[in-house]
Amino acid sequence: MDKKPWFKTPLRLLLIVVVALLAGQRAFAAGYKDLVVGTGTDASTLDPHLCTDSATEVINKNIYNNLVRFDTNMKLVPDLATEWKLAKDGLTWSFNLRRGVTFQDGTPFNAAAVKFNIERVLDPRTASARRSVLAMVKSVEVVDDTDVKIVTSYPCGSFLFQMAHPVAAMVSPAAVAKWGNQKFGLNPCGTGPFKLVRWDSGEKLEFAPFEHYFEGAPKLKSLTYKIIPEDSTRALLLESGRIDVAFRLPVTEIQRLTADRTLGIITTPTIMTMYVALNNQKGPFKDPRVRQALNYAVNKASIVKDVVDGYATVADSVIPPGVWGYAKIGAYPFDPAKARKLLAQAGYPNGFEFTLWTPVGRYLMDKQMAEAIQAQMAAVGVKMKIQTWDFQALMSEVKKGQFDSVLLGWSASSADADQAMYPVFESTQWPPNSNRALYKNAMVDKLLNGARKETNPIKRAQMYKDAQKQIMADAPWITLCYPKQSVAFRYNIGGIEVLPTEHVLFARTTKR
Amino acid sequence: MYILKKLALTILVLIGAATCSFLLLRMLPGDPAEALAGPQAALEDVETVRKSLDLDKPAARQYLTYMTSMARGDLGYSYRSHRLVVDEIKARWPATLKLSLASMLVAIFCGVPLGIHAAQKRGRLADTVSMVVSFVGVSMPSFWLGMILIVCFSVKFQLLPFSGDDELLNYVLPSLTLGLGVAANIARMTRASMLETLGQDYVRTARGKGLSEFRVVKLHALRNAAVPIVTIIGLQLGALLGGQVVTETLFVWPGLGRMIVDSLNARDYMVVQGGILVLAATFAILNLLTDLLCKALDPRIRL
Repeated sequence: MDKKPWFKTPLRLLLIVVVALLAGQRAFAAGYKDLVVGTGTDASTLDPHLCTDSATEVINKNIYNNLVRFDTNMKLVPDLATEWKLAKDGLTWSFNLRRGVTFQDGTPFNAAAVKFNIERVLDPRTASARRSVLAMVKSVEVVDDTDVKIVTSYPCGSFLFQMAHPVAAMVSPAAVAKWGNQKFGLNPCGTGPFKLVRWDSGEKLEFAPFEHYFEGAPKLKSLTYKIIPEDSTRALLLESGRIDVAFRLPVTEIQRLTADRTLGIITTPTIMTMYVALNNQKGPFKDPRVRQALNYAVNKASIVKDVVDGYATVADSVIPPGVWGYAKIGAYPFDPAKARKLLAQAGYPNGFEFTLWTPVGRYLMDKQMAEAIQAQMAAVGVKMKIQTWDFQALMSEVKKGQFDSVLLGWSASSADADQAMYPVFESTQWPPNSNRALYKNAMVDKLLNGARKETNPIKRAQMYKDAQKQIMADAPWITLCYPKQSVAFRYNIGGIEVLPTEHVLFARTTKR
Repeated sequence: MYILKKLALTILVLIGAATCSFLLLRMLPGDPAEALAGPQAALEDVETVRKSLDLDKPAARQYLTYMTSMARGDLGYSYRSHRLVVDEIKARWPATLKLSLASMLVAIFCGVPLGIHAAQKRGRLADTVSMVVSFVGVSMPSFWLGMILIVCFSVKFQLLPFSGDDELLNYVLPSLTLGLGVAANIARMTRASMLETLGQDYVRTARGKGLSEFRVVKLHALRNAAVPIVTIIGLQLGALLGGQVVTETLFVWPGLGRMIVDSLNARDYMVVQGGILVLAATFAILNLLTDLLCKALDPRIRL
């Protein structure tokens, strides 16, 4: 047997020295570090014009830029455009583009690229599921290299907000030509701070900083999204330091992590409203007094406090404060006595029976919320049955419009009142479209259609305020709450930007 | 001849599996175009998507297209990522294969000795303990066992990693999680089969010849008891290769099971169909191999 200590044999000693040198060199060579982000689902497609899910939009936001974007306060700020102006005709928007911007493949970003991108979204052959977001665009005109004119077919009040929508991201025309519509999503190329290096399906997406990013290359060596579907696994990996940032943790995990001093948590509002759509054309719900009664019967404050542990705020209008055009109307107070009185007036002194459909795990504590509502309904004599659904099956059934009521969330990714209200309250939008309450009010229709074509922001805001007031009074929904979102990270990470649109930006993130 | 017949049968099985998965998916509530477009999509956008995926064509036509392209080895592409289903499977299949084999090793090395030991000590304390242990093993949900292992070994004592498939150490916890349940099954089968052979005349003869207990058990009895054990190992390996959704999810394993379930939730029909086809093929081939192995172990078996 060899009696020497194991590390004293010459070969091993040499090996140790080499390894130590290599390790040291690596640590010195790169001041910047690798950032690992844990997320629950794999990306669907990295082609922003085809992408439809918010989990992938979050990732795309690091590859692409729009002409304009939101800041953390939901103000529209310059992105690839530095200035913009609406002509007197209310139809023609001129954009001044940032100079010297290149795509990640080295080709220049210019007015021609803007024209290419908008036309690509509108081209039926692209088959974009978000085509309607830009459908108001009539034509795009290249003025010169850095000036572009976009003409809409009607005066569009929400135009700039639509341009900040993820589908209006600018992709490299050269890369699309190279890969074709089908393969571009696997070989993405934008102007953003990170470029894709590798995508292992179901496992991880690896990005490198784009050294020519127009706001300066990110101060990270790499950015990796690891796909960790199980919530508790994601939390455990963050606690043990194997990942740096964790997305979309459930309330229960966030609570536990709050106590951990090696972690930081950013909690911000979102632009979602959670609600129960009552079928306004069916049974007792035809009577507005019944719908108001149910709004009085639900204790929203208790749901926010006890069911979601403060990770939401009580909804005081049908759209949340982060959406342009929001007006505080005031929530229905919790008043079971009044609820009983209204029910009696409507001819239901002994209550009635109905069914609530709910998805499970799609929205913040959705099933638990339904159960809390069930107990509160029972207290005013209304018997509510709960039926749980797989989300895709639920959406298919809801489109038939035959349900009593359904618990859902709605968020307008353009963060403008038009997309936040028109699809869900305008009466031509009944199922299979998104007006799932089958709500109809001629005055609201007039306001929503008018505001859509109004470019004066003051007049437009007033119209949306009036519409919100009328809708809250008509109570087509039981309006519940605005959920919050949380992003948890290790103590040595700084500069994460979390937007109410649920987008998380790492362009300025650092790791000590 | 047998193999040819069996292979022909396998092709029939695959056609059947493809047809069943095609039909069942279309009977499921939910619509791929709606799922892809998302709950907030405008109706016209949903229709654009439906058309672009050829889902507006009659189901019979879709079925014919699918079957003919399948015959050419083309399994279509994912509705979401536009990746070829064949590529998607190629990316996920090795992870599932490696984890299944590692788990099966754990299962065989724990299960077979435990079963033999229990059979030798039949009716005594060791037997009871072994069987209680294996009973617990069979009944333990893998989700729970996996969680306990993670909390103990990865979080509290930080001895073992629990995510990813890039390092050998990463295999320990997931293969234990999967392997222990299978080991329990194998142990019970081994015990039953060994009890039967240990009572046979040739075992008494072998003992009578003065052979060591080790030789009697390992060479004479085990070899004769092997057929049912090999059969159950084949079946269990098939089940493992089917992808262990829960374990794969828990241990962040990019395997086939998770692929199928994720795609099912998103109604990504082509990926689900492709995945099911691979599973059916795996089962058929494993069955064939098990049969051949049993024949090799016991020449009396006629195939």
